[in-house]
Amino acid sequence: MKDQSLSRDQGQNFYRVLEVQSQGNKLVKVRSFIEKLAADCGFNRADVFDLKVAVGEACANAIEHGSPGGKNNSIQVVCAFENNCLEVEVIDEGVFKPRFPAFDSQLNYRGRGIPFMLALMDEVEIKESEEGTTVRLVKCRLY
Amino acid sequence: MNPGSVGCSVFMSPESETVPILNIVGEIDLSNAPHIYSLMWQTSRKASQPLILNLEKLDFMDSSGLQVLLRLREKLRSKKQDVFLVGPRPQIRKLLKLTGFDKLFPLYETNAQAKLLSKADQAFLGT
Repeated sequence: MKDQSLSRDQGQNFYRVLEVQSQGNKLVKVRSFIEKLAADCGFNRADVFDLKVAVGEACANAIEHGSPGGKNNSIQVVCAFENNCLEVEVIDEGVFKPRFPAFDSQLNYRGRGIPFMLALMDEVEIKESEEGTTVRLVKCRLY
Repeated sequence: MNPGSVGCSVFMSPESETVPILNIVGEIDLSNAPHIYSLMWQTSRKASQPLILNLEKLDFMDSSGLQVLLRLREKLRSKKQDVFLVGPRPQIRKLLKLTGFDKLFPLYETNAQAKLLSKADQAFLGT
């Protein structure tokens, strides 16, 4: 597991990367990483929680659907803070498959990950390539 | 619990002789959701209706946690047992609202309020 502080300029900008094995028990490590980073960026408690949920859902997708080699695969969480916006990219090694297509009132057991990201973040983008899938999440601090 | 794994515990309140209160403490995510569901079901299956789920000390929950709540609700309702939620923190409450779960689960601020109103509901429904 790698947690690198790659750079921090003299202003308030960050660029940090966390790499974890593709395993469910690593989600707590990702949340802890995001919690500290978001707090350092000045986000309030509610926004920090939203970031933990959205990034956690993206990582859960990566574990369930983006890891053809199971725990031999890794997930990268790349964070950049600039102009009061935190951009988080969750990069896996598989094909993206949404866990939950939409909010609804039916008793669906699964599939609320994507709607959570859309509802809690300012921007959500999913990029697929032969190497894997990148989920890009952006949350801006408006205070 | 494995080092670094997410922590969550489930226990029944000792005061719960008339209306059972199941307390969920800690965090629920993909890694522990099946285990937590199993704990909740084992702990609550013998309870009489309705069941109060106290979420005051639930620190974190994602869609896996919502799945746990939904599965428990379905299971209990299949034996005509209702489920009430008490005291979720604002961030958890927000997730419940976003997903429409606040319409599926009656939501109360305190155990006492849930007990009172659940009994009123039962009386109204004639159960």
